[in-house]
Amino acid sequence: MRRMILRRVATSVITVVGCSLLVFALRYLLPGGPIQDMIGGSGQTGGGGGGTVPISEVKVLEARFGLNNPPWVQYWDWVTSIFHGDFGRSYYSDEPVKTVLMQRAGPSLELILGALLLAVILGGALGIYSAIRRERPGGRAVLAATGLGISIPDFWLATLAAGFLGLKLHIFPPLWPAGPNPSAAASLHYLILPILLLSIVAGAFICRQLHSSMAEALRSPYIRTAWAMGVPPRTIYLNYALRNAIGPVITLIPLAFAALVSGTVLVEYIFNIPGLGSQIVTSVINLDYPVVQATVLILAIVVAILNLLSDIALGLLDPRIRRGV
Amino acid sequence: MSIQPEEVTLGLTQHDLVPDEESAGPALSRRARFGRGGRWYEFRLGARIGLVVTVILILAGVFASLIAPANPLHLFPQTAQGPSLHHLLGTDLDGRDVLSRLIYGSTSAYEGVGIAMLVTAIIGVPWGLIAGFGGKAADEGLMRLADVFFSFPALILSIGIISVLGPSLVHSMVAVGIAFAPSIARLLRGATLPLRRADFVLVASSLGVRRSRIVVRHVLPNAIAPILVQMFALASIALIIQAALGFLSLGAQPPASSWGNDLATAYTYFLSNPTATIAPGLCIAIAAWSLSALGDGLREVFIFG
Repeated sequence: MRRMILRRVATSVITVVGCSLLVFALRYLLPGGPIQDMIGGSGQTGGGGGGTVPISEVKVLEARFGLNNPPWVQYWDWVTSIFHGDFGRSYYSDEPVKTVLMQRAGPSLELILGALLLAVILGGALGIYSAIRRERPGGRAVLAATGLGISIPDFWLATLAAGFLGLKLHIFPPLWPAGPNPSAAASLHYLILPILLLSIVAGAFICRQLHSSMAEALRSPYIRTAWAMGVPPRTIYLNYALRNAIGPVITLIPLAFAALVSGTVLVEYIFNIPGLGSQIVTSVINLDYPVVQATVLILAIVVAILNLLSDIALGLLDPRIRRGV
Repeated sequence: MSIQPEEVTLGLTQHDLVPDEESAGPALSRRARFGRGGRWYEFRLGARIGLVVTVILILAGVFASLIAPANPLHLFPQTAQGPSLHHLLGTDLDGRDVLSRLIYGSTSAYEGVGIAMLVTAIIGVPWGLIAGFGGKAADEGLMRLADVFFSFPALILSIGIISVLGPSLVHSMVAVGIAFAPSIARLLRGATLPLRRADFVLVASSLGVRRSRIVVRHVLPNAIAPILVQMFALASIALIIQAALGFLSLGAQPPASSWGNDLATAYTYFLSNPTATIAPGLCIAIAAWSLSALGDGLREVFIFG
């Protein structure tokens, strides 16, 4: 068990280091180099400032930002400064990137965690139900609905829902209010519709996976024996079948999280929520690379941690995984 | 859009493709049995519908200038109107005909998907082949690299790449292609591994055929089947991601017609013309579904072939 955990941790660390290299390298692939994009002279849309700067100025700036050093030194400086919590300063607003991210993390966290919770609970319940009733119309209907849930582009569904329910019928507020951010509790009111919409895709995935794993478990010989021996149905479903079916679903959760992150970007854009998702979009449009870099890196780290946790959880649940990898 | 490529395995999991090391590979090259063909009615109903719809949409895109009732860039005086006799789906905020924009949007949608799939193939196929046929070190290294890419959601990775290249249709589709390449690489590697010990490969190499030639002329055609199937599923997702990027204004820039972008701008005048919000999204959903249904149908052909 311990060996398995250590091995998983090692692979996760390698993956995170690889991600950091990728994110770091992205900045230096820019046409014109990082100084150019700070000044804004690379000729792309957005960006600010004039195009030409005398070479002497560029050299001074390069020295100031440590761009004279060989790439591995720059990489090391970047990594060590991250460990100190310094992600650099935004090109756009010159605030420390850390401040920008912390300000906007709140609504996004509420949104993602809320949607994940809803997806797991609702998707899980519906998955179990549809597996138990898989021959009946009830189960079939749920399966068909999830099929639809996976294929519909969620940003379209979001605009339709926000439009009809929000703008036309005024059931839910369609937009985040302007002005200072409401407190966590008050903002929940504005997040109801976004959370519902986000949870549809992730919930559909979880439901389908749970349905298929549970259906497979319910077909196995040991379940049939339990039925024959008169074990009460609830015990069979929950204690026997579910325990065996839960494995693939746990593996699915980090993937669902990744899908939720993509969905958050779009949903925040539609509902004007000042979160990390909309921050990424505006930063890309403004060519604000430090913010984009930091956000992508943090995302990669979080996904890697989630994968690690789900692998460990799988190991805890299933002794077969503990022993042989 | 939110579907990650690695989740869509279309029934062919890695377990099917990765063998235990002792087993001998297939004896006969599958090329001999490749052209199973099959009557059109042997395909599943969903796949047939998908094929027809995709062909119709692509043709609409190709012949857009002939079919569209109006120039998609022309500004009519009636702005933000609902459906009417002259404008079957209404007009947008600047007065352009929504239906014409939809038809021209089909052109850019399928162009985009084509670019993305081309990039995925160009990057992913060599990646997978080298990982499958190179040494252990190459395999490990390349697959670790693929894992690194896998930790990013495709949309976020595409956004990151667009931040470097700048927003445009081509750039966004290249970004999507790069994001999907590891998935194809991994699949291809899994498909080539059992073929390393195949009899026809051993015979060819004992006859002195260069390894590179063996890989390209013998191994690749036999391993290509799951790749082709997966490409359709990825194409469907690429379409949705393209629309999502267009939605965020990171794809084709206005006034070019793009389904995703039109959807976003239509939302701003939702109350005046809700049809303009429904229509592009419907196109995206139908186009994406047809591509993936087509892929599902192909999968059955190859598995039984």
